[in-house]
Amino acid sequence: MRWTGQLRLRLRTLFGRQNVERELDSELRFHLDNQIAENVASGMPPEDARLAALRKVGGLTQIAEECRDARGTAFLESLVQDIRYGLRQLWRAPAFTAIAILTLALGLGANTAMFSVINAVLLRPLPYQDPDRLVQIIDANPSKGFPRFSSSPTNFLDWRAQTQSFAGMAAAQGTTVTLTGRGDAIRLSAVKVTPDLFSVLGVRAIQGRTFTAEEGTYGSDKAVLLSFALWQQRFGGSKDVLNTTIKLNDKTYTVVGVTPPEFRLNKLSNFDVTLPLAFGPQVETQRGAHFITVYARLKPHVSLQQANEEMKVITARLAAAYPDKNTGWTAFALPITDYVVGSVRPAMLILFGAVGFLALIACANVANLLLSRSVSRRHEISVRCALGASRTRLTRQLLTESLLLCVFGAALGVAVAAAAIALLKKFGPTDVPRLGTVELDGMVLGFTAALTLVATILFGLAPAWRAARVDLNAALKSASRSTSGGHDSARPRRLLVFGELALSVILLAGAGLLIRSFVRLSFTNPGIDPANVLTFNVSLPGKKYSTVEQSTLFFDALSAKLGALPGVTKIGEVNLLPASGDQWSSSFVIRGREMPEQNRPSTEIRVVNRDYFQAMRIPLLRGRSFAPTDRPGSPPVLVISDTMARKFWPNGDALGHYVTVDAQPGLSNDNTQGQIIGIVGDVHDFGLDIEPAPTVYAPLYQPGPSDMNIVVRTAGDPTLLAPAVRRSVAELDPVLAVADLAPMETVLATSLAERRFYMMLLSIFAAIALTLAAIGLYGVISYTVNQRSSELGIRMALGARPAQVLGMVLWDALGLAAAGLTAGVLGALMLNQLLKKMLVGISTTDAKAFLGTILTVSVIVVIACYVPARRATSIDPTSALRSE
Amino acid sequence: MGKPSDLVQGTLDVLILRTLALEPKHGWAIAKRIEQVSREVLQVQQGSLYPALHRLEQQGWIEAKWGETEGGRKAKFYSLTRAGRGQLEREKAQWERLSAAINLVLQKA
Repeated sequence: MRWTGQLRLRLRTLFGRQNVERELDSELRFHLDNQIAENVASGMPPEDARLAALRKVGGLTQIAEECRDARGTAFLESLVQDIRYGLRQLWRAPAFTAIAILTLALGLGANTAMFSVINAVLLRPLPYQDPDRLVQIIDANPSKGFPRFSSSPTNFLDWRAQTQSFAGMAAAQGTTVTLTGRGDAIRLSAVKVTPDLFSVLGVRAIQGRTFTAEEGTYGSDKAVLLSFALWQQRFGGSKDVLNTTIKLNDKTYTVVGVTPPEFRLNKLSNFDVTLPLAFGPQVETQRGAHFITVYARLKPHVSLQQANEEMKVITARLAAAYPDKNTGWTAFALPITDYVVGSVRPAMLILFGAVGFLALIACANVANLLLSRSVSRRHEISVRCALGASRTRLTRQLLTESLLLCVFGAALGVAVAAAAIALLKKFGPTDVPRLGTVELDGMVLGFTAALTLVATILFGLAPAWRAARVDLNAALKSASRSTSGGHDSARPRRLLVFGELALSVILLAGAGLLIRSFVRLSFTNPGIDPANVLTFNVSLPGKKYSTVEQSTLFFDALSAKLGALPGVTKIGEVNLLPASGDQWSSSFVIRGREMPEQNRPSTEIRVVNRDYFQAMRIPLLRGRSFAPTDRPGSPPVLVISDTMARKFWPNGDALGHYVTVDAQPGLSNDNTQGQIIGIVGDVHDFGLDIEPAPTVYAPLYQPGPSDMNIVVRTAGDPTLLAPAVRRSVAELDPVLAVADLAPMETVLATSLAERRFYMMLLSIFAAIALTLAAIGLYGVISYTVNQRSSELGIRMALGARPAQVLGMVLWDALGLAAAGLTAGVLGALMLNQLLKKMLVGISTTDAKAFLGTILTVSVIVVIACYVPARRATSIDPTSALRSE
Repeated sequence: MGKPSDLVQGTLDVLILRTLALEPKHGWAIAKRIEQVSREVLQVQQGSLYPALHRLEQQGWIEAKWGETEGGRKAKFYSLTRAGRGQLEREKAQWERLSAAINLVLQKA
C-alpha cells in the first residue's frame, strides 16, 4: 500500500536524519560529477569544467533545501529542531529553568490535586444504577424547629402503599453490633435495611445474594451480608463463609452474601455488616418514633417536583388521619446526590477557586521570568532575524520553549499532586464523603494536560510575540540591555506583580477569616472539661441482659472495678456522648401546662449516673444533682440544662416543676418523668459550632438503655488507663467489646476536624501564594534596579547619598506593593462573602483578620523590596557610567 | 526550463514517470534521457529535477534504491511503483486532454 511506504519514509526522515542528509548530499554530488565529466569529455579543461558544471547546476544548498521541502516533513522536522534548541537553551540557564519549573509544578500540582478531590467527591457518579433517579425522603416539622429529621417506620409503610410516583421505596437504620465467637469480641458498625433497598439502589451482592423478602419479615430476619472490607479482613476473602453462621449480639445470623466495596449510604459509609430491617408488631402503635432513613427511586417519567407534590398530599392526609402523632410533619424528596455532597460542595468550590488563584499567580511569575529572559535575549533574536528567520518561526520557537517548561512543570506537578493526595487521604477529615477514594485517574490527568496547554498560551505567547517584533536596528546596535527597551518591558511585569499581590492578599484574608473562626470555636467552652477524661462505649446484648436489673448490675460492677484503678477520681455514665453528633429527642409535657401531643415542645434526653456531672465537670447552677437517696421507689427526679430552664421558665422558677417526657423506643415503654431538682450548665452536644439544645437528664436507675458511654476522669494521662479499662470489662464479661476508646479531648477535636481541614488547606494555599508573589516582586524590583543602574550611578556621581537612592527605589517598589495590597483588600471584601457559611461567630469583614493580613503582607513586601534596593546603594558610580 | 511554475511542475512529473516506465534510472540518466528524446528541446535542471524526484518519492509514485552504475559508482536509482504506473496513465490522459483544449483555443480564438 502506498501509505505504508510513505509512512516509512516520513519516519526515516524524522529519526534517521543524518543518513538521509548524507544520501541527498552524495546524490547531488553524483549529478555534479557527471556534469563535470560531460564538460571534460566535450573538451573543457578540468578547472573550467568544474566551474561550468557548478554554474549549470546551481546552488547545491538551495537545491538540497528544496528537496527537503519536497519531502513534506518540513513542519515536523522544524518542530523537532525547535524542541532540541529549546532544550539546549533551558539547559544553559539552569537557575531560570529550575525556578520556572518549580513554580509551575506548584501551581499545576496543587490544581491537579484539588481537582482530583473534587472529581472524587463531587463529580464522580454514585455507585448506584441511574443515580439521578434516586432520592432520599426526609421528614420535616418546621413548627417544632426540625428542618430535617429521620422518618417513622409506620409512616414509611403508609407512604410505600399509597404513593404512585416511586418505582420502589426502602428504609435503612444505622446501628452497632458485637461480633463474638471469632477471637476477641469486637464492635461492628451495621446498617439495617429493608430487602428491597438493593433493588431500589440497583446494587448487587458480589458474592452470594442479597436478602429475600422473607428475610425482611419479623422473626425470620436471620440473614446477614458482610461488607467487602470485613470479608477480606476477618473472613479471609474466602467463599466458604457463605451459608455459615456468625453470632452478632448473641444472636445467630447466616451469612448469605457480600456487598460490593463501594456500597455506602450517604454518610453511613463504613458499615461492616448489613442486616435486615424488619418491623415488629409495635410499628402499628409507634407512629411517632422517627429513626429510619428512606430511599426511593422515581418512576421513569415522573419528575422530582411531581413526586414532592404527591408527598405533600400524602403527608397531609396522614396528618389528618393521625393528628396526635403526625400534625406538623411533612416529608420531601431530595436527589440523593444533593444530600451526599450538598454539604461539602460550597467548601470544595471555594477551595477550588483558591487553588485557581494560586495557579494564576504561578503562571504570572513564570510569565515574568520569561519576559525578563526575552529582553536579555533580544540581541540573539535580532541576529537570527537578520539571518533570515521568519517571525512566525521565531514565535513558534519561543512558544516551544514555553511548552517544554510547561510539560516539565506539569510532570513534576503530577508528582506533587500524587504526594498531596496521599497526604489528604491520610490526614483529611472522615466527614468529607468519598475522600478516601480520591486518586489520580485519567480524567484528572486530562485536566492537567488541558491546564498545561492553557498555561503555555497564557504566558508563553505574549513574551514570544513581543520578542519577535524587535526593532532590528536598535537591538543590533545596543550590545546589551541598558537602553529604554527595559522601560517597555517593565510595565507588563509590574502589572503582573500587581495582580499577584492582589490575589495573594485575597487568599490570605480568606485564610485569616477561617483561622479566626476556628480559633474562636476551639476556645468555645464546650460545657465540659475534657482534660484527663477517657471515654469508651459498652453495648450489652439484649439476650443476656434482658432486664433492667441485669444491666444496672453490670454497670455498677464496672463502676466499682474502674473506681478501684489507680488515679481514677470519678466515673460517669451517659447514653449519648457530647460532641458525638448523636441526637435523641422527644416531646414532653410540663405538669400544669398540658397540651395535645402535636403541640408539645421537644427536648433532648440523656440518661446519666450520679457522678456524671462531676466526672465531666459540668457545673451545677441551681438546686442539686442526683443523690444516693434517689433510688427506684423514691419520688422520680430529673435534672435539666440551663437553656431548658431559661426557655420554658423565663422567670427562673424551674425547680420543683414536674415534667413527663414521652416514651421513646429503645429507652423503655414507660415515660421518663420526674420533678426538676437541679439545673446544670449547657453542654455543646452537637458540636461546638451549634447552639446547645434544651436537655433533660434522667438518672440511670430508672429504666435505662443497654448501650452506655463511660467517662473516666483520672488524675493523670487518660490514655494510660486504656489497657486497664479493657481488662476490667473483659473480666466482667468476656463476650463484651469495648468500642470508641478515646480521650475526651480527641472526641472534641474530631468534631472540629472538618473545619480544621479547610482552614489548613486555605492557609497553605495562601502561604504559597504570598511566597510566590514575594518572589515575583523581588524579581521585578531587581530588574528595575538593573535597568536603572546607569541612571542611579549618575545620580550618585552627582552627589546623591546612598540613603536617598535607597529611598527612591523603595518608594517606587512600595508604591507598587501598596497598589496591589489595596486592590487585594477591596477584592477580599467582596469575595469573602462566599465564606460566610463556613464562618462561626466572625463577620466577613472581621477587622483583626484583615489587619493581620495587611501586616503580614507588608512585612513580606518590605523584605522582598529591601534586598534589591540595598543593592542599588552599592552601585559603583564609575563602573555604571562606564558601561553606558 | 527555468523555475518551475505550477503547470510546468506537473509536466515534469509526468515526464519523469514516463522515463522510468521502462527501467530504473538514476537522476542524471533521467535528465539525459529526457533531453535526448526531446531532441535537446527540454533541458531539465538539477534544481527542478531533484525536488521533483523527492516529491514523487514522497507521494509514493516512485521508489528509490541505491545501486551501482556500470562505471562502478554508487548512485540512487529510481523506479516506478505499481501505483506510479496508474498515476502515469492518469497524468498522460490529463495532459492529452489539456493540450487538446489549448490547441482548440489557439485555433479558434
